[in-house]
Amino acid sequence: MRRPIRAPRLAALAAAGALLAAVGTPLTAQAADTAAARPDTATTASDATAGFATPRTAADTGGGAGLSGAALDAETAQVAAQLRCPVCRGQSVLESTATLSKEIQAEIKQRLASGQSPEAVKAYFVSRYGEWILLKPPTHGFSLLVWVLPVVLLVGGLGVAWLWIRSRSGEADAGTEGDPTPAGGPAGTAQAGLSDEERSWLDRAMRND
Amino acid sequence: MKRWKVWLMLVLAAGFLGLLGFGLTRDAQVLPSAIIGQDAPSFDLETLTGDSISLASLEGHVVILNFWASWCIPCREEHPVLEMAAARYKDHDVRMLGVVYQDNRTNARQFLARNGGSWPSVLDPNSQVAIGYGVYGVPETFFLDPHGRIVKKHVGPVPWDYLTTTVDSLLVANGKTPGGSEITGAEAPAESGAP
Repeated sequence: MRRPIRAPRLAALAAAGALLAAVGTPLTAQAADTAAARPDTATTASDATAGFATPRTAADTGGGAGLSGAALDAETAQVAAQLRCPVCRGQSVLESTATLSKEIQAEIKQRLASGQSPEAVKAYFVSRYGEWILLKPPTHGFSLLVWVLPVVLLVGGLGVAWLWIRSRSGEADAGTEGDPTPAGGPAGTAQAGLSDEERSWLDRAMRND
Repeated sequence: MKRWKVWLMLVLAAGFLGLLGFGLTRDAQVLPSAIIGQDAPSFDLETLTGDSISLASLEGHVVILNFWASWCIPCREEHPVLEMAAARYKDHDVRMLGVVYQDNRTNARQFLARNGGSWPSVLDPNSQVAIGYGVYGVPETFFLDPHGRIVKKHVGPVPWDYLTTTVDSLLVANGKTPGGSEITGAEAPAESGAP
């Protein structure tokens, strides 16, 4: 008598799957966008590598092309806030007072002043320290899991909870519907499913005999 | 009825065990590095003695590039290993170069005067080279092949076995004589004192 319950359960699974697909789609689309933008960042990364051979000369000659003054400071802070301090725990280069963080800030500033874009500067640090250096994991490749997994677990958990509730109420329904005693039995519909003996016991209990 | 629950439990348990196994089998000392396999960032820096050394001038040799500082305690532990390496590879196509990290000339020279060390060290003002190599802290040691490519990186005091295995295999891979092949007699006592 439990077979009929399977249909709603399948429907629930399908609903959960659809929800997952809906959640996954924008993220995947975003990943594709990022991937499309990658050749650009790759070029800038190699530019950065080439520029590294003569860091001081790059700063000297490129001074005119980049930012300066307050705009440079603001942009430096913005990039520094997105980079992880390599010798701290969970702090950005901007927040950290470690010497290495100060030196990284100086490097960021110099690169921005020489005309590199914030994206190129970040790409340079990623090319040296790996994606680990980015406080916010990228939304492509393996790191995409970090973004998707919590949503998957949440939706999956809700799905399981819902299935569990459904199956419990389903069992109760099945218990009622599946009883061979006709609903309009001698003692009325409210106590359907009880034998005469049980019904009289229940009546006595209700009357507090 | 309960079968799907059992499967779910099994899948979840397998997933968590897999993650646990992955975490436990990884060496916590190994930090991510994007730079392995890349060309070593070039530099031209001043040595502690006032000369200058460029990385390009070391091309054609296996290079042991060691970031260190006089204030760094693990660097003191590591130093004897580097000295033994200098002795082992004295007559080989191997060059050792120290990069002094967040330190000054006086302290670095004092360190070398006290602990020895025949290989050159360069000063890295503002840690630009260290950042270029993605250095987290000291000591860190990079192994470069004769073409100037970074083949390996070691974080923390480099163990003797790790160093010799890496350098010897790089020498052999590039058609050169590995260390210890003709100077075994001179080297035997040094090796017995290895940590």
